[in-house]
Amino acid sequence: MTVAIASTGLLRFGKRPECLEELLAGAGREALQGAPGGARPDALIVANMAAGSLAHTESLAPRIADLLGLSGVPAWRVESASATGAGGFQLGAHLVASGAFDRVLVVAGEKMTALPTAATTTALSRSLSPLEVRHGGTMPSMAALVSGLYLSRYRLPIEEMAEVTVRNRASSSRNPRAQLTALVTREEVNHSRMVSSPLRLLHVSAISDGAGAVLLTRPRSKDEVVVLGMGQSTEVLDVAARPMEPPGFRSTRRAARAAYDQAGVGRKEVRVAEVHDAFAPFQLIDLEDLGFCGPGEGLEWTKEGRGDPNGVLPINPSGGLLGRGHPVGASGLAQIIEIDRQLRGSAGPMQAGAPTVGLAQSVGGLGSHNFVSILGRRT
Amino acid sequence: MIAVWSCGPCSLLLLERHDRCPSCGGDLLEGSREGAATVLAATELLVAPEGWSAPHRLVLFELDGGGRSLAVAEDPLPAPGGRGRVELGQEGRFLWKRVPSAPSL
Ligand SMILES: [Zn+2]
Repeated sequence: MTVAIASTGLLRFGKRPECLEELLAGAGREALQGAPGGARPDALIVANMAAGSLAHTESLAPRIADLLGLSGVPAWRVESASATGAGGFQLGAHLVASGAFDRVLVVAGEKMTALPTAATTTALSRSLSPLEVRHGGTMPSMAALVSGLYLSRYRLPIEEMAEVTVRNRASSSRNPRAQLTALVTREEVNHSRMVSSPLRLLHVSAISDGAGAVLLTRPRSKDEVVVLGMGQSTEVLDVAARPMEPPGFRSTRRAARAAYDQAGVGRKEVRVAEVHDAFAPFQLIDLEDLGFCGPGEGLEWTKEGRGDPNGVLPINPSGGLLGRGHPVGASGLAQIIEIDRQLRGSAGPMQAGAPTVGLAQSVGGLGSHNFVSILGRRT
Repeated sequence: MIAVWSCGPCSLLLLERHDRCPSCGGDLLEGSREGAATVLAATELLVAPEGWSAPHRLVLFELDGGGRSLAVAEDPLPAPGGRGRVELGQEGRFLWKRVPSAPSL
């Protein structure tokens, strides 16, 4: 891999007044302002999941090029469901690594709060399989079934999943760009409103607006954050038809294997990770799929504090999707940006030690296309 | 009877017709199951999607003889391990029919 992160931009997530185009362009401008030497990108990737349904707009690539003063530059829109930001990032990195372009700007964002919740839920459910949608499946109900399989397999009570939410909300309380900054208790999680049993409101990431941007270049100096390895895997769309043992996402396991192999690092060398906790049990599934702990060990590993900001492998020091909010198109790129800042030592109150290798993992469409990206800082 | 399609090369089992195995591209062989099944997971969604009424109950089931899919269930929500029958209802939807002594949540 010969790709470096030259600069980043990340807006605060939450209910925001701007339209989708303004969010995407705002993050893009922030990244361009931070670019060394004001380098102009020679390609643009706009990552967005569902602009047509959620924001009633399409053809985002030339629109964002216009707003950024980049009209004329080749531009593409990328969609990978709830992992869209990761999909845009990886495609941008491939474009630079291939030699096709020198400087690729990736912007990723979503506007979700303009519609009523039921309409947003319906729009998101279009990333599920036709069979699931035909049965009235939605993102929360399919996540509840996946969570139920995991909890039953290891005989874990749902009440214990509050361990994830409480920790991630403690981290997001230190994140100035997070949507949810108030601390929550175990009791509050376990008494929050039921969304889709056994998942309660505080087990579920929030509907949110937000955007991020990354300028990718060829490495120029020694002290840069570079892409060490990337992996992606698709998976059979029907959740029920997939192998059930071990519970979790085979697409994460395949993506992780590819990323570890390409990076030439093992899981034990990873010193910080942002993982896809759209639903609290998913964080434990992610830890196991990434090999950070053994199957069924995610809860104990977490309760021992190993993933805390001062632990051996800080997990979601930004607060994760549960704390930062989950604008579906933006989250995958926000994870990359948080890892970049951790590796640079510029994460401010969220800084978790002095890591030199970090990992971001993103789940698309309930595991139908998952991504793992490994970044490193050369010292 | 419930139709199932199985892949020779990779043994993936599907309860919906596909031209080829989505996992390996192999040929699929059609078979059938009686409909007796076990609940692997179940959920009650309290904010129904458009076109449905809340609460909306879904079961992820496994047929005796193999094959997993989703079914729409009625109150009370069956618990994992519960036994029942799967029937094919309208518009290609599977329906979960509990057997009288099955445990519920
Ligand atoms: Zn097959």
